[in-house]
Amino acid sequence: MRCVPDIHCFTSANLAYLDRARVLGESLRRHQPGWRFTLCLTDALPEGFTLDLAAEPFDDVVRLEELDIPEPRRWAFGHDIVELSTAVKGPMLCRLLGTGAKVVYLDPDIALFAPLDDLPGLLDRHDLLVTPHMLAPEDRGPPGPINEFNTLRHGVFNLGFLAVRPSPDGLRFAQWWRDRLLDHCLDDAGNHPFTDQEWVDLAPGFFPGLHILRDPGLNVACWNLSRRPVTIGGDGAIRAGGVPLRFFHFTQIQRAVGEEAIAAFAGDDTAVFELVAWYRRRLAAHAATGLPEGWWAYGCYADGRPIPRAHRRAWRASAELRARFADPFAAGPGSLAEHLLAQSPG
Amino acid sequence: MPDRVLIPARRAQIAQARPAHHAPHAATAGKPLSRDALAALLSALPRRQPLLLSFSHDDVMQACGGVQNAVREEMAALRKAGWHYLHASPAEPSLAMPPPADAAASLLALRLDGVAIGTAPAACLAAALGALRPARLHAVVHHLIGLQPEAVADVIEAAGLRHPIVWVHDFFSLCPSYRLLRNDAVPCGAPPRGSQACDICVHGEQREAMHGPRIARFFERMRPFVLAPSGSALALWRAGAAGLPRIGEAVQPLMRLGTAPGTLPHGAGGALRIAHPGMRDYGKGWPVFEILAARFAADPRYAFWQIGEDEARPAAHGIRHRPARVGPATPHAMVDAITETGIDVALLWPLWPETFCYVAHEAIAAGAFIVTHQGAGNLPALLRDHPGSGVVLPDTEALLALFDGDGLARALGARRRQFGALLPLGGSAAWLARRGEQDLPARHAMRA
Repeated sequence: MRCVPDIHCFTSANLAYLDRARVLGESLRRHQPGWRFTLCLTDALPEGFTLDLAAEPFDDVVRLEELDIPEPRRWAFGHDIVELSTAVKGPMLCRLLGTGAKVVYLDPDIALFAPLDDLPGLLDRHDLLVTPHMLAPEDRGPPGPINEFNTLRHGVFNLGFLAVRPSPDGLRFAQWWRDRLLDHCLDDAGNHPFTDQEWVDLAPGFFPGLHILRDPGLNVACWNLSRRPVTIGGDGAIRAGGVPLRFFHFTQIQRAVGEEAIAAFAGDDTAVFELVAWYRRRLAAHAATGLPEGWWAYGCYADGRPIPRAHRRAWRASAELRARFADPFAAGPGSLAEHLLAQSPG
Repeated sequence: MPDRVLIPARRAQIAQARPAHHAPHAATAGKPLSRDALAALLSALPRRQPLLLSFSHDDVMQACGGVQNAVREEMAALRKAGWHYLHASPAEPSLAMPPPADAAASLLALRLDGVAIGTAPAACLAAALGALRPARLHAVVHHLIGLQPEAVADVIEAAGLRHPIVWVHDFFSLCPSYRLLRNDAVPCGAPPRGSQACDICVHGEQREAMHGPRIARFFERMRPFVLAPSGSALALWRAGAAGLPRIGEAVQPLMRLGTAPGTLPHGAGGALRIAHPGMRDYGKGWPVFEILAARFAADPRYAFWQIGEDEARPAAHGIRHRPARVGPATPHAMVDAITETGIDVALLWPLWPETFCYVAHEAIAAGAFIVTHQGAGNLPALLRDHPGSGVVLPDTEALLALFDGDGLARALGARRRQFGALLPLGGSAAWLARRGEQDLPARHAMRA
């Protein structure tokens, strides 16, 4: 009989984020060695590239095809790279809750700096745990409450973290969220509920067992840094907003915009840049060697042409297209690609 | 307190920080010495004259720097007292601790009474000293960087010694980041090994896995007597050295500074001459000097100078350069250069806690007014001991305010340059003298 772990943690990522998922896994093994950790892979391995679980900080890898999603490949076509890794979170949550475990989701670009030992106890008392982007009004950084505007556009809670227990209401939340994500996970903030995240703004009303975590050491990121300055004491402890830092969300840190966002809200702190430099070193140590540049199994048509976002949107929007083209990734005469290109202006 | 002015320099330093790996950066030319040849050289020494066996990280007659000064002065003092001085350094100096199994790293460059006698493996030196067992012998470890602490301990034990003097010229005995700069950028104070701070520091892994345990074993074997060149250095070292056994510890300054009032005013030639004496190095505060020079480049009240070697690093913002290199043949080069250049103010803004700071003593002796800060290690204490020699500021904001306003002009307006004399105390020689052992510390007295 297989033992149900106290906490089953998962992340979702394509291979381009494998380095981040590895750093997360490394930090989990250090601070929560008893948790089971699964990578939900929204990608397929290129020829010659292998994932040796014995050498990876994951206990399992679950592929898109293993999730309870009808016609997963055709469904994947309707999503860009961010949307797909986000949309699978609902089905994956349902899958793991079905084992009877309490489930924690963490974004791949998160790293733990201290244990999260209190989560199992909190999940004994609450159905689901969330962390708001912000715990206090913005009072420094660039002019204007930019993070408050952004939070209002992208959702009150940051869904880089979510914890759910397999209680009736926990399962009801997971099923509801899964259903919304299967059909409505879109990266189009302002015009549509933002990906998986903005839907959860409804959850406090729907699910009385939702509990908001208010520990400033959880989910520290550029959007809340102005109220949670990172400091490192003479005792060697890293703190955020004066309390022990437990996990940091390194959003878009591989791009200049990620560090610029941190710099904009870091104020006089340089300790946060030490975290960034450390994270980059860990990413370099965990780079996915041998992965072709720009690889994503669902990124191109069969002839190698990148799939424009407009094609994905058209596929999603049209039941007729979905009925007419069995394999949306096909290329050549009679394909969806040819059809949509013929309709493109110019 | 956050130091806003320094943020860009700190960020740049953090981004480029790398762990120190053992990578020999120079080789000491020297003929290989056999064990017999080495034993013959040592046995030719008159037995009634004591011998000091000294270790440091490079060839003190070739390299320049504070530790090298200290070793040369120690050698000179002991030679005057009739001692012989056997100095050992890595034949291939490095900025890190070599792995214990690296046989090439055990090769030592040896100087007897300042004269290069050749190179020999540490085991060969151990065997020669073991066979010889000089009648009166003492051991001093000035620095372990580039050396294998196991090999150094083997040599000291083979000579029949324990309890060598170990110096705290910097903090290498606490961390591979010998200036105690986390990520080569931020003073860390040597937090406990395995702390979160060490986890995110480029030096943390080495400190935890290799450096710390090897240094601890060295101290357990040797149980040394620890000497620091200043009270601030000893206090900081002690705070991080709880697990390092030793038989005692004390402060032994490296130099005494005597000053006398002068008659020459500052700024007689027009602009006040502001200098960065020393290396163009982050730890020595070069970024702060550059910030100051950039901000006041067009201000006719000030002219900016760097006194020392340029290390092939560029200087902008109109900073002028006066070469100076303190070495065995030019011990007064810095004092002479500061004096001849007519420097009024020496900005000494180290970004690590300086353990002694020769150049501060030299600058005061050369008539300069010191501007420094509270976190500069020994510098505030030095200025307390020499009232009127300078000012201690809280942070770089205060520094900019001092230059922005008329604070500096007021501080110097009524002041006359005070010139001074520097008296090297001889390092371990001074300590042995204080202990009444400058004559001949009997080897048996130092045995365990």
